[in-house]
Amino acid sequence: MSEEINKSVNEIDFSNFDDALQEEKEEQIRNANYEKDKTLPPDPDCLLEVRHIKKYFTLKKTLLGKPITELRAVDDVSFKVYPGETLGIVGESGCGKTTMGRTILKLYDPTSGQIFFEGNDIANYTSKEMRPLRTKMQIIFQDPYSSLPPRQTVGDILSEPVKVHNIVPKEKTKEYVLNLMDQCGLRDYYYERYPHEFSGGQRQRICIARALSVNPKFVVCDEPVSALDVSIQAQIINLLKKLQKERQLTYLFISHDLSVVKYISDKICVMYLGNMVEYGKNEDIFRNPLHPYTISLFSAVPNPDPNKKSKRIILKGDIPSQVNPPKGCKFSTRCPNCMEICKHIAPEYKEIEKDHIVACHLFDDVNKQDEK
Amino acid sequence: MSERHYLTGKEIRQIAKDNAKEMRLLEKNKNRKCKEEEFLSTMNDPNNILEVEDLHSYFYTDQGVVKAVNGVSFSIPINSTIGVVGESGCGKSVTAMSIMRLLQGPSGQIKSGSIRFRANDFKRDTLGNYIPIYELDDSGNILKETITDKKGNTIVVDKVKKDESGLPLYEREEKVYDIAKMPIKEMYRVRGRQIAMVFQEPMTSLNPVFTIGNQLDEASMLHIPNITKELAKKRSIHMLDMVGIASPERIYDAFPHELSGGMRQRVMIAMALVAEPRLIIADEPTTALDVTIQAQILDLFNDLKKRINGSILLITHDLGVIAEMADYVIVMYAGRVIEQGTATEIYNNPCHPYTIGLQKSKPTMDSTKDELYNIKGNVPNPIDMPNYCYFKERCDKCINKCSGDYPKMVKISDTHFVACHLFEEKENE
Repeated sequence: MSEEINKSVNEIDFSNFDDALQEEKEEQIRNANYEKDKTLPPDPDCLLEVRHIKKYFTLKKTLLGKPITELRAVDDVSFKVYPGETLGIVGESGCGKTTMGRTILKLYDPTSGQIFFEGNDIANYTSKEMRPLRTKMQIIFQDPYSSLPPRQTVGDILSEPVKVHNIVPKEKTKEYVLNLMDQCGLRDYYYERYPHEFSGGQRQRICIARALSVNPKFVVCDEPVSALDVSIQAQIINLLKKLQKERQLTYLFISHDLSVVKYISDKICVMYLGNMVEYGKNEDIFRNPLHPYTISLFSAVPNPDPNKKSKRIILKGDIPSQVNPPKGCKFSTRCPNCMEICKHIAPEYKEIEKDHIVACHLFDDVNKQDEK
Repeated sequence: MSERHYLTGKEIRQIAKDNAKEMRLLEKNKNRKCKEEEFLSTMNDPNNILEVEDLHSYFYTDQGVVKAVNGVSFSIPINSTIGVVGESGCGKSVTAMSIMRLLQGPSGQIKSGSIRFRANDFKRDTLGNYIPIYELDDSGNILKETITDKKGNTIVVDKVKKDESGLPLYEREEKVYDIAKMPIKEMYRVRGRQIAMVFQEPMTSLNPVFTIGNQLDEASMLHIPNITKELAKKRSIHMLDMVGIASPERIYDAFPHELSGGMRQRVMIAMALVAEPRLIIADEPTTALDVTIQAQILDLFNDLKKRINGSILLITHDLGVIAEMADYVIVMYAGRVIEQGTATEIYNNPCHPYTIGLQKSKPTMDSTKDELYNIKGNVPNPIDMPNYCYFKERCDKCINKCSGDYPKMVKISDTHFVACHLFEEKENE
């Protein structure tokens, strides 16, 4: 079916193109892909594999509970994370990065799709079934000011997860926590203090220590440094890197700051309006960004060297609403290289290099040439 | 300081008593009535639009006096962009607030110092009214025109000169105000008219219960004498158009919640431009925005700078933004200016260890290093600042002299100054 579309692209007359029919077709293709992939066994090398994950929030529903308007926060995203590596997720606010991080941890229930963690599909696990897995996957939140309980001392905050999950025997808890605090760069006399006595950077260290207190394998870092000052940011990034080396952690690093993501990640996933537009190795993406969105996102980062005035590609307008996304390619409203086809037909994922996937009509021909 | 990290009740009461005395005095001074001559001043350099000299802005809290701005001096030349960088709590926003006299009293006060601003204010007659410019004929006599007043009588008046949009013109003159000495009631001459401010949070700085048009019109009605509502609307729509809003008529009737962050920031900039100010203070204008929107707004500022005949004071913590925008950079740390110079000087030849650290600790798109450089420790407690260099505890290039007095500003080149003992010695040699 997809070949049919690709072949007929040049001949289609878009003046009276039936968008509704096209949407139906695309939906069918997506469902078919989903059904096809559903039966495949999970990749045994992966720590985490996400397949066609969707998270829709219902805004309005009928009396019977059938959704009328939906917010498509995450729409059909698939990727793999191997042990010990860091996957960076970049995108503007409202592109669904945080929702995805939370859905993977099952803080939200996915609408459909599969999440394989160590080979088990956890997408339909209940919260009770998830509980033993909580020691393996943890999250660090964005705002260190609101994610710590103000009435508990640092010692209490850090020893609670240890006690709940029985990580170490009860009498060794304090010793364990102090050791952990030392690793995260917190002095031992902070044990008795309350969160309000600390600065932002110190609080973020407490949050990191709390996430690591149960010895997880996989940590979702949801914008851990964006609320911090530049000099403190560097401290926290270095700490995260050091801990990754020491404990062989796997990170899913969510950030809107491209320079930070570039610094910390092995692979990068660029998201736009709930869709993944480009995915690939760090070097590949920064050396050779393919999607127009990625290119303009990179060019928008201000360069600290005043002598190098880079040529900026400035995107027009704002990110469209997710409730009523544009037809065809979602980026078509802001794309500098928009073609007629982009406004009607959604692009499919194409592998341009090894492990470098992009969803854009500009690369329709590339694949065809390869096939020939 | 002693081991304990708290104050006893007795100490707090003593501090509060001292503070109350000080604040009462400053507050009285702020609300005094005085003649214009008292706050008129002269500029040191006629090319400057703003000169800040030895500014001290303090906050009198119950824990002690927070010296948020502790002896800051800088100047802004005409038609240039000055960038102020520093971490949170270094006093960059308080400096901007002091220039606008927006410090929250009674606890926030300008203790001493002077802020000299060259205003292009209206000329006033003895009663304090503005003097209109009359249209003259060839021989120098004032032209007359007949108009009908509200009661329906026809009267003959002197013809007032009007600009293209139909606004009456008034005589203006250059005056130098010392903003730090101005009574708070006289600040209307400067705020909004001569110096406008764009705040950090576009989400909270617009009033949610009024339309965009209403809020823009209000600014014109306040600052432009004898403007009619129709003219104000025309002007607002023109301003919205100027800041790159696609359909200004529609946005004019919209409420702030209907707009996105970038649009709101554009509206804020439009509002700042309404009275054609000579200086725009942009306090972290892009921090709350996405990278792509940030690029749009920075582009807009660069574009506007060429079109309006004014200067920009840009406050930010992002060195990248500074490099894109500013001609001249001021680096602040713990309430003091530690380094200043042109953007290229600061980038190519940073002298103060803090500036160097700040530059190295930011990962850039080109960097490939394994470990980021980090400045150890935290910003010192703003109460009880030491009398030696504030950066000493975090500095890795300390010398013996650093335990002595606070370092003076050392000249590196004509435009480049640094406050560090390392360079004092070199200068002496």
